[in-house]
Amino acid sequence: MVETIVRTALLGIQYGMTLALIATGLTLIFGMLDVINFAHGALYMLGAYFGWVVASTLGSFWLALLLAPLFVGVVGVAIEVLSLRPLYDRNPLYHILLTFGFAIMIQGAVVELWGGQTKQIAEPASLAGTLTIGSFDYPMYRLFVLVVSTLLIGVIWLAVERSDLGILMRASAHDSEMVDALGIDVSKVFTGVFVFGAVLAGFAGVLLGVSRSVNPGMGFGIIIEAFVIVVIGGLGSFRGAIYTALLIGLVSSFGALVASTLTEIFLFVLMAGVLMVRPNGLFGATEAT
Amino acid sequence: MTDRRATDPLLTVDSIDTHYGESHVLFDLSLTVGRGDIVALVGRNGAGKTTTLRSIMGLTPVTNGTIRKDGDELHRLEPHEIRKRGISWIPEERRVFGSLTVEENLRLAAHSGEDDQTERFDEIYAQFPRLDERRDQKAGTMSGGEQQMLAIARALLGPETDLLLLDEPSEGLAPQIVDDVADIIRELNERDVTVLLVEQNAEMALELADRAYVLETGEIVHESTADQLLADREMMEGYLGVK
Repeated sequence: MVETIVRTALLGIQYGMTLALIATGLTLIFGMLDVINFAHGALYMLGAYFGWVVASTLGSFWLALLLAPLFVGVVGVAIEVLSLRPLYDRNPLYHILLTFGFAIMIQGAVVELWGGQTKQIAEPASLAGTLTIGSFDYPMYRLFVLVVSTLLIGVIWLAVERSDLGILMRASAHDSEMVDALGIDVSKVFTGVFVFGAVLAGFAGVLLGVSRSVNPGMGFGIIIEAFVIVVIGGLGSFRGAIYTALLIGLVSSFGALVASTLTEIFLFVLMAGVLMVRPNGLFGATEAT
Repeated sequence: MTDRRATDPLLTVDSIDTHYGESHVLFDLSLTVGRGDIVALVGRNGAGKTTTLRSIMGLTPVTNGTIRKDGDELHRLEPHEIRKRGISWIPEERRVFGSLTVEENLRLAAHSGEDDQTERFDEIYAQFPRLDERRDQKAGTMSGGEQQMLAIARALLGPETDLLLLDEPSEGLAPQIVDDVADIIRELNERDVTVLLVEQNAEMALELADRAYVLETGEIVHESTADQLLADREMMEGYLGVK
């Protein structure tokens, strides 16, 4: 019994932290650029595919984990600079249509290039097998994902709270025109944040491309969860996204234990419940200053 | 009052027009700010004073005409590039970053400076002891007067400032604090910072200024020394509603 709970909790935290990698990017992009990025899930999916290509051609998971997010970052630069930048001043509907269009295009391109069937990134040999403590065992790879994503989220958190870059990001989210007038090229900050979000999504795609499957529909699946997280956490709230991702990870894993077919419903019930009590999300109001 | 603009203009705004979307806000507006001067731009609410400053700063680009600083055209430059040419803008309502601390607000402003700003930081804190005491306080929780000090301090960090665009610095402040702000502006001016001051509080602005322009529905309708305008009660009443 205890073993099941520990196992489920670990699984939930691990999944929550990988979701946090996706949701923090999404929420930072919304908070700063005011763009609801529907292409974010497609970038995650692209990360998984690039990871699969690198891992299967060069035979190294580690190279895949390094290179695939960078490739996704390049795609991110192209999307931001060439298409989003001219539309910042427009109605948000333009951003939604544009990024939704990109999501469909990327998915179409992936099907065209690599077909519609499911792939999987091969688990690295060094992380195969299980870790055994007494009678308790847990897959090594899942443990690795848990540690890496938690560390990464921790580093990003520190950077956003403490570094000059974090100050710049928070100030730009608050009043980008003022930041520009202080002599800082805000458009570069915007590109940086968009690309950063893309790289994180790509990274998560490679990580989950091993334990879950790689398929063209994975982007649309994850974007729903990521949006639920961003809404519950409070639109644009960085901390809110991380806490909520963890919560959603745990709700998913424990929910699956109770009634595996109902986990998605749990998410939406949770979202509806939170929004009824706090319409701005858990952290929405406190960071709105 | 010496009129230095003919010999040494720092800022020349020449026949600009500015639009906000469909609406035409500034009409063929020209003004000159001489090096070392304090120039007041006064007028009633909605006359286009804020838009004039925003146009100079590149925030609301002009649709016609030219703006030059030190002879260099600022046309089509982005606000951050204009800031790097020594122009600092302190907006209406100050717009400090409320969720950042005083120190973080200043660090951000120093960010765009090329040289090491540590010394300037110390100078700023020495000049504004209230800010020194409140380094770790969130800017949003400070009083209006303190936020105004922070906004001024923020404008002085980063690239060297020789022209300050001040929009309604007295707005919402108690009379005593307005005097403090006026003292700071005077002090800055003594340190060779040229000031273009937009004010609803015409008396305060004209007491500080060397020269003055009166703006009415997007057009300059009067130009003189500040003393002349201040002395002419009829004109003050007619243009500004001041009795």
